[in-house]
Amino acid sequence: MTRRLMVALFVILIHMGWPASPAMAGRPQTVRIQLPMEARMDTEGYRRILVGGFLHNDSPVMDIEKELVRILRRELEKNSDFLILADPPPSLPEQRLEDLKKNAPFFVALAEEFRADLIITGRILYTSVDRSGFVQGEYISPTTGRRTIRSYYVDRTGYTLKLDLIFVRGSDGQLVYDTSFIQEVILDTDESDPLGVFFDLAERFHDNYLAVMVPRSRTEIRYLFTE
Amino acid sequence: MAKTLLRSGALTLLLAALVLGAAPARATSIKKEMAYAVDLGKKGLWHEAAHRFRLLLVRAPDHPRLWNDLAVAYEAVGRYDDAHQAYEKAVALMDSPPEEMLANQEAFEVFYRQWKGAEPLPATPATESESP
Repeated sequence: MTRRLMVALFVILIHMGWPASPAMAGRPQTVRIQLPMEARMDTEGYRRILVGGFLHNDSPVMDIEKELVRILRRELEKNSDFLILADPPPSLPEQRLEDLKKNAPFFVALAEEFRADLIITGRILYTSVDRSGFVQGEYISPTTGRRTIRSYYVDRTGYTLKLDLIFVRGSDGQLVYDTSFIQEVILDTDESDPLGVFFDLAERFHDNYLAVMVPRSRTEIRYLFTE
Repeated sequence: MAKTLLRSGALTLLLAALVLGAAPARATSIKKEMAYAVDLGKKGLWHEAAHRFRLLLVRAPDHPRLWNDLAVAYEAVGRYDDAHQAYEKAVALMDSPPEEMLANQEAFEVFYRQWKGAEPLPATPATESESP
């Protein structure tokens, strides 16, 4: 009888999940998830989009305003249903970005001229600075094979691309959204091409500015625990 | 007499098991429901999965793996601020979180910073000084 009771007891305990310890936890499961990204701006009512012009600094290697407008138009055409106007980017009044944001009469006139519902404009700055200096590195003697740490001079250049985007409603010239992005890279001067670096840095912004106007999603892998 | 004693001892053991077994039983129940919620998530039913993870956390608020799973569910339904908090809670509840949990949080934080529009680099003075 006692034996039967002990067996019953054991069965009950096992059924109740005893003993339960974290050490018994199973392996986590892998799952693929889609991360939805709603457009940050309410784009209802906007169909015709005018991209540019942009305030910009002078660059000896290219017309950065023209290149930026070309990239923005291409990416918006490729990833959205908006009608991206193909007109040459209009000139902007010579004023600071903060003043431009408040220049509603200018944007209303611009919107009427191009029949644009929304104007994407702003400022682009592409700069390079000398980042040369001494760095420490391992040195192996060719004769003794001995490893030592030595300082040596490296000729490097830092490139920075900063983009301030402002989104202006055509009907009343009011700012509806603004955002800024910045990217910097430091490269050996001998191996860096300012033109190529510009396009590399600009490409890093694609997801950021598209996210303002276009719903997106991204696939990611995550782990789920079952206990 | 000996038989009676043995029987009563065994009965006492059985009763003790029933009382002591309540907590493991709850753990088993949570484990089963957690596995069910995970299955829902794997089928793409993330809203329901998140709901079930939340209900489970009412019963087991200090369960780090549940917080991790809730964070993943929040990610999948686009509740990124909530996912950020849930991951922080999950990791804070463990002295040495499993690498999978840390990998989740790290990957999410990369995305979260981009989503929030945070910039990886500060504006350099050189950049600002050349503002037109």
